[in-house]
Amino acid sequence: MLGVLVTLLKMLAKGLTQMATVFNASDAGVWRLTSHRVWQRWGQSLLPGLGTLGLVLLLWQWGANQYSSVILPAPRDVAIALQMLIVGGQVWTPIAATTGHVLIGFILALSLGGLLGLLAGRHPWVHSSLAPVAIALLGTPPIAWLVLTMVWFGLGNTNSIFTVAVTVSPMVFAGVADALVTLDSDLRDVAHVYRLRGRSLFNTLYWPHLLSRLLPILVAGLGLGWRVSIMSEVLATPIGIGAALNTARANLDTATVIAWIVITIALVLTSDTVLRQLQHQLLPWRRDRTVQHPRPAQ
Amino acid sequence: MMRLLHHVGFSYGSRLIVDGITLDAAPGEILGLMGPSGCGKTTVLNLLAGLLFPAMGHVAVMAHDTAYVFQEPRLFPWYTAVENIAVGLSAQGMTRQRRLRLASDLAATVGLEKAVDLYPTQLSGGMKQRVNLARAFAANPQLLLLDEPFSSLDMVTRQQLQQMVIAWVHHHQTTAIMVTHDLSEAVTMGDRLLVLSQSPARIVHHWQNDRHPHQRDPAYVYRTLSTLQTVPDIAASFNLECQL
Repeated sequence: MLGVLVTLLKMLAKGLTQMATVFNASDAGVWRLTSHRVWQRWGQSLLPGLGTLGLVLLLWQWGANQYSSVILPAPRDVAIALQMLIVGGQVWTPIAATTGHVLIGFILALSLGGLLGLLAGRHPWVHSSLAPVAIALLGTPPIAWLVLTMVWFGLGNTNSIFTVAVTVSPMVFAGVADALVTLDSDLRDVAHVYRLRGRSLFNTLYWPHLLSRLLPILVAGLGLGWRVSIMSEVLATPIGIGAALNTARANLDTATVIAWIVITIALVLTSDTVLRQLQHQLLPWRRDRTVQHPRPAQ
Repeated sequence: MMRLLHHVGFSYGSRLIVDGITLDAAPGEILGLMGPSGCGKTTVLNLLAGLLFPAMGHVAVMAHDTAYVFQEPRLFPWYTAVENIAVGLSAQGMTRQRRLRLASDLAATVGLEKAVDLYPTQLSGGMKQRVNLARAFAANPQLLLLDEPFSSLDMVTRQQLQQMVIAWVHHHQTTAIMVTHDLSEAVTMGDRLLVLSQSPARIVHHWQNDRHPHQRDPAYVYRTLSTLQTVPDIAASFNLECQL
């Protein structure tokens, strides 16, 4: 939650800075022009999204009027259910449990997939041996793993953690192995000519390359981790967002089910935003690919 | 004169690429290396840089005294222009701050003071090649290897960078070996010119430039070009290139 707060505060600060820039413009003409552009940009990016959201809410309300609240509760009922979950403090334990499942499974996937990926990247025979296994694992639906874990471990936290780990680790494996194999040999030559060795070689060549290849995979892997964990909690884990969803379903409390879905979307979007911000910070050279050609001094 | 290569031979598998080349050069000298495409000129530079190892003979230059201006800039995409230049200083055991300060000075020397914080994707071809050159200057090498460094540049940038290299080499008494396909560039910059045969590479012609770099005006260059083009080995070199 701290990460969410920090991101929100940063976004707020950015917005305020933008506003301050607009209001500080001394020339009235410039102010009007800048103000017009800012509104135009906000309008272009926000209005279509808000319009679609409004349309979905209208359709939802129309559907809710046609059916009973068990089939499709009205948006207002969902908002009330969401408020009750938050005010009543019932959201935090499931969120903490799911976050725990995702993080432990994700760390296991990083360790296992990363280690095997490093070996495969360095030794072609390891790559040839493990590639078919990784392809088979990538093609296996998470639900199949879940069924197996229910047989192997019964019902419990292990199901979610294992399913997340086994689903995400082939992605990490493929990403790390690919990163090492695709390391530009021209840059290796540059490193050799300029005598980069040991830590200097790692910091200059290997680490930035690995990071640039791995971060997008980690963003996708974490997103997958949330979905897989919640799915396995619905079927095989007694605590977590999935378990709370299942309880609400058993009670025919569809408004609470949808409230949990909203919470899940918020969580996934938040973790995705935080990781993308991190990616933005760690890979500044990918931030702006706009070509700027200042004239060299003569 | 110092010995750089001594009867060096190199093969890719069973194919002989370089056949017993001996290379000597003096400090402050620019040695032009010409020959048909694919004859093994870049292989000779790679042998001097320690990127390849000879099958026979020996390379008499110390790798830690060498810098290489590659044909393509080969910049680290995650580093800014100044950080890329600082890579040339990596082996000199300086603090990062000192390296960046020296790299900034070098960036200014090659006309990049306004581009120090830009990433390679934001630089033009000419700017990238300036970074490539400044990175090599930063290493303060005894032997500077240049592999057709100006071939993809416009004429104005090419002439600017040529003059920079000439000034640098003479000021720092560096030995430079430059592969080029451009005979006028070889006459303008080179103190000596070696012509290699079609693969396997052997030295088939040697030409000494008798003018100081500052005295090589366009009239001299054109006159020399027309003379050189009548030399059978050089003419053969260009004819072979046309066929390829």
